[in-house]
Amino acid sequence: MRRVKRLNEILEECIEAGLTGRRSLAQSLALYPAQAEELGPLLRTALSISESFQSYTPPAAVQQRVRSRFLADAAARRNLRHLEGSFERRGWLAGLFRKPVLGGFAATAAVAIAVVAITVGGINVGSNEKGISVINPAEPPAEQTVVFNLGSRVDSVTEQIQGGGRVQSADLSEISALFDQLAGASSEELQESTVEFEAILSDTLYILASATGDSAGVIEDQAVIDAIDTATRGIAEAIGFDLPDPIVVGDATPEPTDPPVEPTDAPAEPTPAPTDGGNEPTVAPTPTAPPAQSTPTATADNRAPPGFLP
Amino acid sequence: MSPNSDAQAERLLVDAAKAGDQAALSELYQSYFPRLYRYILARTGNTYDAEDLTEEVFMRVLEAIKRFQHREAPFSAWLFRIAHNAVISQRRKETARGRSSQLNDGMPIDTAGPEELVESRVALSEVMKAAKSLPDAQRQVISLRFAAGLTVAETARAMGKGEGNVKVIQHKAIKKLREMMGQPQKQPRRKVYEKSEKA
Repeated sequence: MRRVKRLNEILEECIEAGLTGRRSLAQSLALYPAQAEELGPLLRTALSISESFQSYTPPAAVQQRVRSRFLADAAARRNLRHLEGSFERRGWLAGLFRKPVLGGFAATAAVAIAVVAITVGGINVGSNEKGISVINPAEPPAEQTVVFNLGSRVDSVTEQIQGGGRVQSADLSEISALFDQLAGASSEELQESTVEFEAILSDTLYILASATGDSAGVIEDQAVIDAIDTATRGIAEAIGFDLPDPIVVGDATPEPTDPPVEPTDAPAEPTPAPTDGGNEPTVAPTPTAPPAQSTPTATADNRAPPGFLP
Repeated sequence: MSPNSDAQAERLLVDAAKAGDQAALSELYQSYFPRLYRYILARTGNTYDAEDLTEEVFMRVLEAIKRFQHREAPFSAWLFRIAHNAVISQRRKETARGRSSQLNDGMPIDTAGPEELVESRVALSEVMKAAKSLPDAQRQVISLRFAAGLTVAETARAMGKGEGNVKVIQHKAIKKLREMMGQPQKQPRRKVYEKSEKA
């Protein structure tokens, strides 16, 4: 059966062809004469947006400054690894790195030695207290991957709620399972993903607040909710992040004025509907939105940014 | 070079960078700095934040690259996911401080002549101004696709969404931007032309 292409698919195909120089705008329009009238202005806009961004060159001085810092930091890390390898080969001090109390001292000493060595060598190394983690001789587990997956899941559920959807039991179970995978991680390992966790933990609180505030929702999942809450607070403590107090969210029933979400044209995708456009919350966490603290009591119609107390 | 061999070359580069190879790290930096900077600029609308956050993201990459795994996501998606988190984190801090990002004038363009410079600058600030009023998911798609230059597949991975979903969001975003920006304007050139005609 011949598949009919939707306009968004044709648009993307033509944008890609234009960006890679495979086809001109005119050639693309000639290829889709029936859609040309609607396609032309959109394609023109897309290509001109791309041109605007691509014609902008970041300041050379910034590029150079960041590059120096990046490579110096990388060199410091590499030297630390050499130092560690050297200790390991000789067998001395290696045991210290495996003992929690002395490990911290040994690691600090190693950092100090490496930084002094590099500074004497004429390279200006920026401070980086997190470099200590490379001292651990054991191969680190793939926490970063779990954090990445957790971030994706939490992000998608948050958008689902902001689009007027409900938290599903499956969402909570999946988030809980991902948190479980981080249960064995040390504080140092968790701290390596501080930036990611700050976003994830705040969004998780928002999800939990929405789940518990949804009267028709997933009340039978209280144990899962509690488990996620405990994990969230544990990680926040480990990374030294002050969790914002969760907001009290009303029933997450979609607002009647919201236009319907356009169905996705990829039915096999796990996320069935786009969470953009018309389904935005009344108070979206955009840079121009007023500070969340000034928002009065949060209700279903007045959702504050994730996890912030009004 | 075909996309496949490009991907293979990047894979080797990332593996070398994971092993601490300075040349590979330098090459990755050269390849991603402009894209990352433009992406963050598009998300924050502010060159000061773009500078700070670009640096922060590269430092985060150094910390985390050892744990990056090709089978989970392409490197570009992984990197822009870190960038997205950094932007969100920065936004939260600003919201807590009661400060909001402003578009600023610090946008030097060293690839164009004076007249083109004015036009490009107006065009870019216009795009960013319009993009600021887009819903977050639409703004993210525009930033990843056109500022960072990611493909739809990479954008989908970076956002944790399906490709079909990204195409729908992209379509809506372009439609809105077109409505907001109207036709591309070339005011400076037209004014010069009118002047010379009267003379």
